[in-house]
Amino acid sequence: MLITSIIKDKIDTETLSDPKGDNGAELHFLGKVRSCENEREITALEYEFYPRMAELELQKLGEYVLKSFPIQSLKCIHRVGLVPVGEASLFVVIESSHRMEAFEAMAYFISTLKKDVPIWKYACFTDGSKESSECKHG
Amino acid sequence: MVTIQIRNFSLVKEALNQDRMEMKLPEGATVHILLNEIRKLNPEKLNGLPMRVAVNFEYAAENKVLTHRDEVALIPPVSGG
Repeated sequence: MLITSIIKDKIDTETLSDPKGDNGAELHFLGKVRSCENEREITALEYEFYPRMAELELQKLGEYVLKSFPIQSLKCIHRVGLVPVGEASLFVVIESSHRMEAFEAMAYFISTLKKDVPIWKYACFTDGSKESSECKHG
Repeated sequence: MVTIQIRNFSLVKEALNQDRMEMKLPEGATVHILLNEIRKLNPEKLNGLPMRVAVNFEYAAENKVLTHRDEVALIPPVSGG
């Protein structure tokens, strides 16, 4: 099963869980907004995206990972727009028979998302200013 | 001539001060030629900026030939997640 989506509302982590799933591993990754960006305090990150292409690239990446790793499902929600400190911008759930393949698929999926999916973030500082924020962690 | 619709994002949008624009290029113009023209608009900010190009919502190679009414997106390094 593959679900990918880009939304503007708060992420509801309950939506992607499968209580009836019969896989040995259900790995969750929740990417949250930290209070500090480039050593300055922020109030939020603002995510800009290229509509249509961002959805297409995310879906294409999900299809590739589902085909290339021995996993049973991949579900991903990326939030865009203003995401306040402490809230989640990214939620990914991968199910597999055993844990290692889920860890490997997750690492690949998130690293590639950060390179290929046309989404950009801006740091919103406490003084009201805003600046483009490059991802330095791969 | 072909007319190309251009979408600018993030640092490219800041450098060009607009999120959409239109550009006329000679028939047969490639992504590479388009990029050269774009960089001339603000060499100070754009010459050192890595940029990928999407044509009609797909990443395109620099030798791709552009056609009339293509939608081109100028994509600086992304930072989702």
